[in-house]
Amino acid sequence: MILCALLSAFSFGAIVKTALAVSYHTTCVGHGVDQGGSLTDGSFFSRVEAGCGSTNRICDLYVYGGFVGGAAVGGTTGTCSAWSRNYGAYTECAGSAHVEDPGVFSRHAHNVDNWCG
Amino acid sequence: MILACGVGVAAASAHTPSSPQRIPPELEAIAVPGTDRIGANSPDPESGPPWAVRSYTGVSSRSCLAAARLQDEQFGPLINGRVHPLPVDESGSCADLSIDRVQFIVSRFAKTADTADRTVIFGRAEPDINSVVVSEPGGIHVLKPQDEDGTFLIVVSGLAPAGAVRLSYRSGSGSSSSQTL
Repeated sequence: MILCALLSAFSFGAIVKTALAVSYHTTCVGHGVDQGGSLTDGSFFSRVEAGCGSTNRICDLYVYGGFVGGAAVGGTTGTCSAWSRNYGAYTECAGSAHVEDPGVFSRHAHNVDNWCG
Repeated sequence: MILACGVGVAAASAHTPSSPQRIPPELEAIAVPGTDRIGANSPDPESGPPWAVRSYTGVSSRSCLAAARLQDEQFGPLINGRVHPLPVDESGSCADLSIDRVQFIVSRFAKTADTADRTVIFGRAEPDINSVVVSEPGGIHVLKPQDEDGTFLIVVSGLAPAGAVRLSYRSGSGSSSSQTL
């Protein structure tokens, strides 16, 4: 029983650490925070790509741990994309994407590469 | 159990390799020049400039949409009482309308110094869809997509919780569908 708990906890820890440490990756579909060509220009996206049978996707933006805005997109082909600049002027290094794709992956966070939060 | 979880997280942190993977920026949302236009619009529930949908065609030929405030032909966020222009490129969420028939987006805007919490429900419909019905916690709305570009939009106060907004439609050919966001 204790061995099972340790194994489960190890797996959970690995998943959490991987998600936060990686700004953008693929779990069936690409998703995460996209900072573009500059890490310091105040422009960053929360994004979830379409695919893998998904019919709706959520891409939220957080800065210093607080929700600033985001989007939910329906259909099978729509990319969920929330651009920081559509919600205001925010500190990029404190940004993170909280993303969810029901049936593909559950809600989790990705920090920017130069995380300072 | 809690101790086991803590040990697990610590062990995983020590052993998980740190190798950030960067994927190139989304190119589909780059605009074909000259295709951007302001479509459906609606007043804010309380004050300030109205909200509008901006549509454009992405270089991937997909339909791209964004919603923001509109003031003196400037489209973008309201900051310190003025709308700051949002560049067209990469501003939209893009989809293939020939497959999805209706592009449906719910954008939530957290309160700022200029505005309270807002939920903007918007989208774009194929030409043979004459109306869409949007149900949200505050009521049911029948919206007619604009003739020029098929866009529609409604703005409500507050942040609608996930799963609280439903869109349904029936096309001229008799097909129907609904989505919940």
